[in-house]
Amino acid sequence: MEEEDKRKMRIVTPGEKISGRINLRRTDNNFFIKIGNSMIATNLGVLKKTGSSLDLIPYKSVYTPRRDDYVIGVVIGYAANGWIVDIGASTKAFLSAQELIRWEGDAQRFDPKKYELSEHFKIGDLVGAVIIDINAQSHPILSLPSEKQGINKKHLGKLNGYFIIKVHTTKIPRIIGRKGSMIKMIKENMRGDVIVGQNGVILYKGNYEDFLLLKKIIKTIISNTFAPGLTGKIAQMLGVTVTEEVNNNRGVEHE
Amino acid sequence: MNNGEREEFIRVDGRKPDELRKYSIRAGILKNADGSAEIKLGKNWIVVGVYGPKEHFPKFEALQDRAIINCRYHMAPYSTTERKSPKPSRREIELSKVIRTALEQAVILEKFPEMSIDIFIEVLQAEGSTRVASITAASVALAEAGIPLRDMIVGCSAGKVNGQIVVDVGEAEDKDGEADLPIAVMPNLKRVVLLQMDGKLTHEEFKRAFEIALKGAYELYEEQKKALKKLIEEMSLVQEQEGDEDE
Repeated sequence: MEEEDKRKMRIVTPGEKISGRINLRRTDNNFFIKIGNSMIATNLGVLKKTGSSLDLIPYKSVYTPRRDDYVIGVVIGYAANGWIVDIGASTKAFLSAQELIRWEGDAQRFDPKKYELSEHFKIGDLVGAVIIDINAQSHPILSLPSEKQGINKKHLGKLNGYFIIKVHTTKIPRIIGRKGSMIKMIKENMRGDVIVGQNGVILYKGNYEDFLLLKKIIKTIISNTFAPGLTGKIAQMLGVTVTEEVNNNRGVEHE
Repeated sequence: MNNGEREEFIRVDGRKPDELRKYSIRAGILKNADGSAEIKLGKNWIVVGVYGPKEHFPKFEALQDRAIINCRYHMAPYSTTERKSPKPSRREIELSKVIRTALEQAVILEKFPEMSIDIFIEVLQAEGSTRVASITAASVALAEAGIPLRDMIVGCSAGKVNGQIVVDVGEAEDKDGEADLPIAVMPNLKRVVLLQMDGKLTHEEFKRAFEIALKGAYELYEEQKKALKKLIEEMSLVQEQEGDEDE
């Protein structure tokens, strides 16, 4: 099985022509461009065959914020009606004060004369939010949805008392795994609270020993991004017996 | 000139006319930069760091439809036999511009409107043909940073020394030679992105010089690929298997 996985993979560098079917409809699969009649890889990465189409798992890529991404950012400044948040993307994100008022269940309108921004978020505070839109200047607009599938309410707004691990955003799909299998396994088998932001920030609340184990697990995932049989390895580290279901998820997955 | 003559010709450093200096390229050498690379070509030693894409400042200078590349070519004070003033010279400002325009052809700038990409080229040791070596290293650094590229860019130079067309001109040959021709190409798209010439060449000589520089560039392209592939190979045990995709 592992030999087969390896044979399906090939390292490509930017500019290499790719022959084969590429699923361009997938939003995260934009590591190809068409020049003339040929498809060309734009990033360094591993080309992997899934079913009948080809995927490129990049070595690194620039994080482009997308709608509905859950991100963790740091407040870096104040605007007239909200906060400027650094989410690690190439542009700074914006969280409006009105959004926070609405989320806190207040009916009042935002009044810049009465509302003191620094009473709610100070510079340096960690904020969990969801990208609702990207504006014309390519700045992500953040929101705090009151009900959203897969997002716990306590993971939104100000986040206090967490350990922080920062990874490259390209590694996040691997940490999450196919249909969330990897992160589900980690969350289920670890004490404490694990949050993964799409922008490459991982937070952990719990005791320090467990944090070190999580750090070790993340490091293993990162250094084995392109290697098959990772889920089994992580299960071993967590002390979980590999079930048939987990075993099926081995190999490079890219959500 | 006939072929017999060409074979006899030995250059200042003992190379054959179509022989490159010893070269090596390494990617990902700097921890703090988003992407980095190093090239050693003969005694040339150049380090490149890439940052970005990031928001461009000042805002009014940003372009609405694409990113801006900021490129700085700089020679360290200890890079030459006599101390070079660290102040950017006329030559360095010009080379920064020439390298920038070459790299702009490859980077898919349209993906990052209103942003900028910073490229810092530091020549630690210089021995001729630094502009093409810088381009070769900068392209590897860009690929390592995950910035989407249409193709790699690889540069090589050719020149005329004692009436003989030679590849990869060194410092001594550059000073005493009759002409030099640095080129940079996109090897897969077969496009020339930089072509400069200093001195005089006849039509035939130019053709030969271009050919020989192109051959040198393709040789360096293989080294570029090797350096990039090494990054992934070091991460995992993936063995490259060619010809496995659907034809």
